[in-house]
Amino acid sequence: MSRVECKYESETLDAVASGRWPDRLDAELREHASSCRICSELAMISAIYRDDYASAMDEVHVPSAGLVWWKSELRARREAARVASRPITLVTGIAGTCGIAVLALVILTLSKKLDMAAISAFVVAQPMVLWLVLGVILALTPIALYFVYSDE
Amino acid sequence: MIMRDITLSELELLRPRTEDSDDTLHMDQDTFGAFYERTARPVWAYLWRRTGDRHLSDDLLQEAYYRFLRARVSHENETHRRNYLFRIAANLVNDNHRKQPTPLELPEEGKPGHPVSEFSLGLQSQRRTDLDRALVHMSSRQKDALWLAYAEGSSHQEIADTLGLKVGSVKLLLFRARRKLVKLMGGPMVAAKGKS
Repeated sequence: MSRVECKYESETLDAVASGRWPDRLDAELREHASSCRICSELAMISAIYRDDYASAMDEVHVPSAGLVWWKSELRARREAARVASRPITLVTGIAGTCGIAVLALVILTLSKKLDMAAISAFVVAQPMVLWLVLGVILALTPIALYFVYSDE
Repeated sequence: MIMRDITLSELELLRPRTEDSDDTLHMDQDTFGAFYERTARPVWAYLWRRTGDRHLSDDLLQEAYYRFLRARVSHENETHRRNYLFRIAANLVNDNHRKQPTPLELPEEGKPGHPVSEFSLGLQSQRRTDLDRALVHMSSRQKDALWLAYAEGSSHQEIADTLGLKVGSVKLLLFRARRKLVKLMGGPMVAAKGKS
């Protein structure tokens, strides 16, 4: 297996960082660099990245620490509130489902006991009663929901 | 979707408070401020060079610090803390690339999406263009390792911590990444040309 590292790597990196690469190397490193592919590639890549990093740092504009902190804290609190309200939403959903099930059961039970034919005939004869009942339900539903969901 | 009005008690809950932030953010504001001053610029530079998008870099910077502040991780020292932040940033970049795969070829210079075009004219060097074109063909892990090693100046151990690798794997990763990049950029002669 071919070598993946060279003992001169750190010296090569130092030479690039200090601007001595490739013209102002000491004799030993110069002789080594002329024949070591690992070090020549390392020098090339590290020089490119050093320039690239310097260019990128010139372009950096970051928000203040306070702004990043404030946004993070706000978001953390929102998430905490959301997590805290999750069980309430779940319980509300279960209660609603149970309520509908009980209502359906009551209607089913009553429908067996009541004379549906007579009721139907009454509704057909007096349609205003049906509209009145529906109107009352429509008027009361938002009020009921308001009292259920309002905190104050 | 129906949105109900927020109540006063909820507003109070959402209002930022520094005195009891320990339950939400795992660092006090002063410590964070000092840490941010030391790390924000290098992290943003990394995000920008990996995404090529300033606005996305801003968003990812905020997200990286948010995740950092929320993480229940104890840090042995400043280096560990910094490596952890870079790890979060690297994961965010890679997640973003998975959602929006990088095109195989860069757009033409001067067109939207070309990172070099965002530099001022004086900094547009041939070598920089070569690097951008070459990096398109490198894996995310190779790009991360190269940046951390040669832009950030991180040690093999620090890169290993950041990328979740063993030190031996980092050496091999860097060796292969360098060789591939040199080949993509036309060989070591390019370095000599760029230096002159």
